[in-house]
Amino acid sequence: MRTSFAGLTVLCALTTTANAQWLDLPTKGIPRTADGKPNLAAPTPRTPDGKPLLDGLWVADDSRHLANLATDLKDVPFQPWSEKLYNERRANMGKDDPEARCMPQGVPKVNTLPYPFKIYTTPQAVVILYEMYYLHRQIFTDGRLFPKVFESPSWMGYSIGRWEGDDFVVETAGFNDQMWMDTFGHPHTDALHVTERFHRKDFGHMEVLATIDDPKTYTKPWSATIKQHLLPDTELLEFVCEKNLDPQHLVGK
Amino acid sequence: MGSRAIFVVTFALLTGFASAQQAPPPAPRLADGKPDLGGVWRPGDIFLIEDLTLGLKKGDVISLKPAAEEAMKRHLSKDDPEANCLPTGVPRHAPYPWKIIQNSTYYYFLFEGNIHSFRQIFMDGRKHPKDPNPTWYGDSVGHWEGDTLVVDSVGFNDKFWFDFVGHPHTEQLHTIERYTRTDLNTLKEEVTIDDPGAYNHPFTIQASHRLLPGGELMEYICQENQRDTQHLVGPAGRP
Repeated sequence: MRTSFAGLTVLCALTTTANAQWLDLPTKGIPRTADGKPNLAAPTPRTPDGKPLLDGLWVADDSRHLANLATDLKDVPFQPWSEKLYNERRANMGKDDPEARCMPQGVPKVNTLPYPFKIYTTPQAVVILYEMYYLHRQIFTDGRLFPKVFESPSWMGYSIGRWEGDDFVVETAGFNDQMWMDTFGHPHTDALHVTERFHRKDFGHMEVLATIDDPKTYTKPWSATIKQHLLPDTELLEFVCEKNLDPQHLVGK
Repeated sequence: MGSRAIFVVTFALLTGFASAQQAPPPAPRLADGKPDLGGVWRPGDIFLIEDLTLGLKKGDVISLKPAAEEAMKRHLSKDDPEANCLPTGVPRHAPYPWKIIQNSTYYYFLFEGNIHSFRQIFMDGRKHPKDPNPTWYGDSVGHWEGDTLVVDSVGFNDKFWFDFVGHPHTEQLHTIERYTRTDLNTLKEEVTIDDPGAYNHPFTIQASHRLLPGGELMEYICQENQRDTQHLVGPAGRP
């Protein structure tokens, strides 16, 4: 427990550097107030066809959901085995967290990190580039459906997206069963199906409503709302998880 | 007579078809007239993977400075950063597909494997930072010269090797990559490597990439199952 909190403290401390991470580089196309500061309360930008444009550099407002994705819930609808595993991970101070071995965070944990991600819309896919571990993810918007069989289960899963009103709705499945959904270690299986609703409220603020549906692990679906803010006048930095030498110091109970 | 006419027509059709096969369609273009480099590519040869010297531009030679020559002799295959799940750097490729996505401000190169990462290239006319943080992929700015995308990169760390045989570099590395989509299926790359810290003069490698039509990147997480370096014995070299 102490160890995982120590890790969190480090991550939280790093958030401030992430917010002021690049040289003075005004981002083009950002509305500004009279004094030249970015106007993050300006209206949501839209594409010519009227849909919100999600493009930009974003970061989670805080690390609450990184610590505990179920922080908004009173009771987590665990299956008996998953509650047992979860309690073991908590008791073991999170020493086996795959992230400590440079593994991808998976979905939706990847939206909760204290490092920025960039959303970049292309004609066939919305691409998300993550500073932490320098990963990328494609959300296909070309109308395709999930493959009938996920022959290659993966950390980030297989994502398809569509618009419902002003919400960009992303369905992701085809996961392996390896990731931890948060630092506390909420488990999942390869039956996991994640729905993320990206809602850009105004120029500088976005909410991601993530719903976890994994009947093997949880008796009913549950959700988390992860608030994000835009980082103006900066860019992604390169964060390569380089032969992490620290896991040996994560000793557990 | 009739059958001969049919033969002639058939032959003409066949040869017509054959020559159509030999000449692939031209490179597509974007709305602004620039060549569309978007797509999933795979390295078409091994020059940027295994040994730079195989792809040297005619007349060019690689001339190592003494310290770089010593470093190259010391390199053991097991220590190749690429084999240890670290980025390939520039201009090295892994033998896995990669994808170009693009708009007027940013080009991104997405890599399937080893590692499942990306490069960002700024196209909005900005300059390199004066004192960039040394990184695996460096700081890259791009511009068009006719139908060729020119990518200029500095700000590298000194860790990656250029190839399996272990060509080294220093933080003084400066690369200029020129990408030309010569037809639908072919992306030619010409990259000049200028590193006065390791080489006596710049040299240029010519390589190509082939389109993977209908292909898509898969997720390759090198760190996931990395048990191979123990089997890599001996000096750096081609497999």
